[in-house]
Amino acid sequence: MKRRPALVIAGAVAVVVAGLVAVLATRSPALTKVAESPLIGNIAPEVRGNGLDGTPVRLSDFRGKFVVLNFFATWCIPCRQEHPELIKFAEQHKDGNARVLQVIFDDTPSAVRDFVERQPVSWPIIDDPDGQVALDFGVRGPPESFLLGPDGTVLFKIVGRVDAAGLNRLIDQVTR
Amino acid sequence: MRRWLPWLALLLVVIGALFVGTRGDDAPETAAERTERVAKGVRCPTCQKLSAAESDAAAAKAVRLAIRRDVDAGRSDSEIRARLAARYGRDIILTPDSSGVSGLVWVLPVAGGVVAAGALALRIGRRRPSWVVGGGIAAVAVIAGFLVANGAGQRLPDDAITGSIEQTSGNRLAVARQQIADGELVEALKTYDSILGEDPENVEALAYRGWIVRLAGLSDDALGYIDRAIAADPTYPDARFFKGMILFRDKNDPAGAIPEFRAFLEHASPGERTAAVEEQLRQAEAAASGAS
Repeated sequence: MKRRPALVIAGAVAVVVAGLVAVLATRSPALTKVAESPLIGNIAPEVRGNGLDGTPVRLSDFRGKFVVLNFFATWCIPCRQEHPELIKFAEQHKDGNARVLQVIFDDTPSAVRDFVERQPVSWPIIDDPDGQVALDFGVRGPPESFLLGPDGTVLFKIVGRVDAAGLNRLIDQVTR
Repeated sequence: MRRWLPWLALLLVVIGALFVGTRGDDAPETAAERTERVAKGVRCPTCQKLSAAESDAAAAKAVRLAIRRDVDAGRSDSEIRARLAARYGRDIILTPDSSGVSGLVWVLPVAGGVVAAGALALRIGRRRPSWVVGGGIAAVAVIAGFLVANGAGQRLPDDAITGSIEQTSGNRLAVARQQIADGELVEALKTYDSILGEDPENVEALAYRGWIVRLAGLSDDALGYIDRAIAADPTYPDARFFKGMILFRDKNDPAGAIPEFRAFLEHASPGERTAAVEEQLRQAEAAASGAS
């Protein structure tokens, strides 16, 4: 009679530990780190600025399409590493329902121009000299990206470099 | 009557503390002073150990600018903090309000402690332990602790207890590199500190710790670490790049940066990073020749 409680407790602990091992061992590694943000589920703050060519750009002009809003800097190595993936993503969706919009974070338009001359992009890049666009989105440091829905809702925040496959998976998650 | 005198004294202490705590500071302050005061209670978004008032990181400057604009627009401290929390999350707030009803979070634990200590002293003096007194003391302690814990600002992400597997320096460096790639700079800083605790001359840890500190806006501190890395191994290319960037971008010394960028290119393997540094070298040379 005295051994029963101990056996029951030991059995319960074993079940819990086995469950934890099963969960942790079978989790797939995150290719993109989706993070929390108070903006998720809300309409994204408006972004207004001029592209590198001086053309006025507004985030609300992209309504009707998914938008990858990406904050980056040329001095940021992960930003440079994800750049080809953003090009790939934009190419995959050039006739479709997704676009890319970049915002410069703590960098100069001239440095960015030099960078994109070597790796041309098809999307607008907005300067944010006083960091207020980054603040409006709660960006702590590049690279950070937001996936916005066609209605302008903030769907996901991704901290760290993104890749085309990960972005496509997030869009599939929403459109399924 | 004399029996009630100690309780009356305690009551006066509590009322006095509540009155002082909720009144707040009525001294007028300039917009700049108020901006700095509010900024001291907000965490730097990038370098979370510093306040937005102390840090020179780009995100901290943006926060100070936003605070100033809100101050000029006539928003209250609470509104300003709420607007920042609505963007960054509650953990951006370092300290709760110190006036008004929120100020009770500072006062109640003290007042509660005074009441509890006084009641305990009285009861012990009578040598009659009472479950009522004990329960009251426990209740005050719990409420005070809850108020302090709830109102003292969010725990930092890096203060949370997490499990970790004992790792060698080699794979901890790999962990740190991945943390940087994932934007987890605070975690990377901790990893590098753990490496340097065992191997103070680890070149990669010194160089990258310095770079993270530079990203937090502390260029002089960053140079200290990076110079140690260079002293340990002058051929380690990343340290030369980091030093070049600090001299060029932060210290406005393109002439000083040029030999650092050249040292990187001399020792680094060709690749993506080479192209980035070549670009910086070109800009530094242009800036240096423009200045001369």
